[in-house]
Amino acid sequence: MLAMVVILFLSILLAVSLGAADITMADAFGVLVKPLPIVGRWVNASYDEVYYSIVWGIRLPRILLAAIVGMGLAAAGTAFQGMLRNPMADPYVLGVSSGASFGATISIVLGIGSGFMGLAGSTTAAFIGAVLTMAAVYTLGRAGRKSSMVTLLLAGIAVSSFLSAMVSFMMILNHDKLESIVLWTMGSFAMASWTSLYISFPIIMFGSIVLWFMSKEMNALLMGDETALHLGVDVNKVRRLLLAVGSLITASAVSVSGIIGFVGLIIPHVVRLFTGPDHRRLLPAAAVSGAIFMIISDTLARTAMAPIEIPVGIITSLVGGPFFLYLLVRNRNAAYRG
Amino acid sequence: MEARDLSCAYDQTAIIEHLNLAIERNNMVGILGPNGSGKTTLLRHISAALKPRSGVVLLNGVDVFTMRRRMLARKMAYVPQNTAADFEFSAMDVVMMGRIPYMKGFQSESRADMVAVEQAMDMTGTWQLRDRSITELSGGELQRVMIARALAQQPEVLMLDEPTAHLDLQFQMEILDLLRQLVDHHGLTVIVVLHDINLAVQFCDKVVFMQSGSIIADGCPQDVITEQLISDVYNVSVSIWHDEATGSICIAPVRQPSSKTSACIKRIG
Repeated sequence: MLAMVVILFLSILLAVSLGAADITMADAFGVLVKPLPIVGRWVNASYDEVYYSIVWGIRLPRILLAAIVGMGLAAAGTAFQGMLRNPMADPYVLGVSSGASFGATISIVLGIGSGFMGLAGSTTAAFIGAVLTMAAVYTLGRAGRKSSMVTLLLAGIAVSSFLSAMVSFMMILNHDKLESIVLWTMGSFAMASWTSLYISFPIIMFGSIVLWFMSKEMNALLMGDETALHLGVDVNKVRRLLLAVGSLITASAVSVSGIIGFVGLIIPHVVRLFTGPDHRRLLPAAAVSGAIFMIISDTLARTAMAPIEIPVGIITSLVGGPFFLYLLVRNRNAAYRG
Repeated sequence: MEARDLSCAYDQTAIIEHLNLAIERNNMVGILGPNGSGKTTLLRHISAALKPRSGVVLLNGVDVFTMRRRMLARKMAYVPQNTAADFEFSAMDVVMMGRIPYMKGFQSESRADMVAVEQAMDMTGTWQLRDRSITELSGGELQRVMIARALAQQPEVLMLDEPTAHLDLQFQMEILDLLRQLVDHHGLTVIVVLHDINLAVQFCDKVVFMQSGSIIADGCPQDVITEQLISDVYNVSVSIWHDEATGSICIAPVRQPSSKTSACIKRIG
């Protein structure tokens, strides 16, 4: 775990130094540390003002946003897979992603440029769309005779495809906005700012800690509902709480970055191959891995074909897919289980 | 432990109606009856997994539905018929889950938790399996690990739903021997759903026969079980005799020639 945190900091440092303007890793470190209280005094070198604005103004918020989004998606994905005992579950099971793109699409079509507390209009609209969808799916899923997980998942799928159809419909009606809508859905950190970080960081961080806090209950749920119940876990209450927290994390991640696939589905599987299914170890490991993976993917996204930026969602699947298959084949003998 | 005037229903269909049952401390009680007679439903209700439509379930005189789940899990443990074993937990991890009712939030295992787990694994003979993944265990081994998990809860009452299903004769005897020891040497009360009447007779202090959601008979096996009762409950004829080797009564079903087979026999004759 400690090693992973070190790798996280190293990848932040590496990502800060890479980009259009050439900054060495040592300089990047100096620029990062100097303005900090206490430790800043140890750095004696002085740096060009431009370095500060590149590192602190442009690169760092983007890198930190990638890290927190990667962390949130991986943590929510892990929790959903464990809680639903379903290896195919990802953070978007409750239709949060299509709700977000529906919201974002409306704001793009209507040309709402600015939103709540200095956030972009699309971010605010996406967050509202995601939370409303989550609430709707939740209510619909409970409307049936019994509040079963299957009903909830089906409600998620139904609402999801309905909203996707609405988004496609709006795209057809607004040809001129087509490109911005498509780019938003593909996911990117190009719009990152300190403001988006101030909003998403507390929600995702706090939410992930709540999920981690429920690790023992999630472990019990893996053994079946009946067993969990007799271990004193209030199965329905715990599941509802986990779903709500996980979806809230996902909503804030999606609203600041668009829909980035793969991370929330595959990172938990990859990490589980190494840590085993115990959420007390799995969840923090997956969260940090998600952050590292997202930083690397985003760095590739902005540098690989510079000055053209590749949507980060493409990178995550392009790089992550084959890597995961490699791990699967390598671990074949270790009896892979969902 | 006591159930008073218990009525239970899934949705609108009544499964159990006006049932009364008292179970004395430190007894091993077998619940028997044909498929669909409400055995599992009864067990689920007296273990407070499901809320009855009416009636109360008392544990040491306290209504179990007023107790907090965590507190109840320290008094009562339950081994369900099927446990998911799809995830690669070690046997020790699973038994440690029995300590969940005693742990809070991020709190890690205490010395007391470790001792309870070691004891539970020792009693069930699963200590040597501690590092094995539960996905690799045989049916009998897995069942013993699940019982160890329940014992790690340090309960007063242990309930098991057909713990011997899908096990061969040797494992069936092992499991029932283990349950008997828990009652005799560790002061537990065991309530177990069984299918095999002969095994129930040998191991249980008390048997409860269920049919269509009601208790038809309950009491000491030797007194309760008659050819008439079995034929009433299961709708098959049986022969019952006292067996020297087991020291208890034995039951064997007697085949009734059906009309088709008797016609056949007549023709051949």
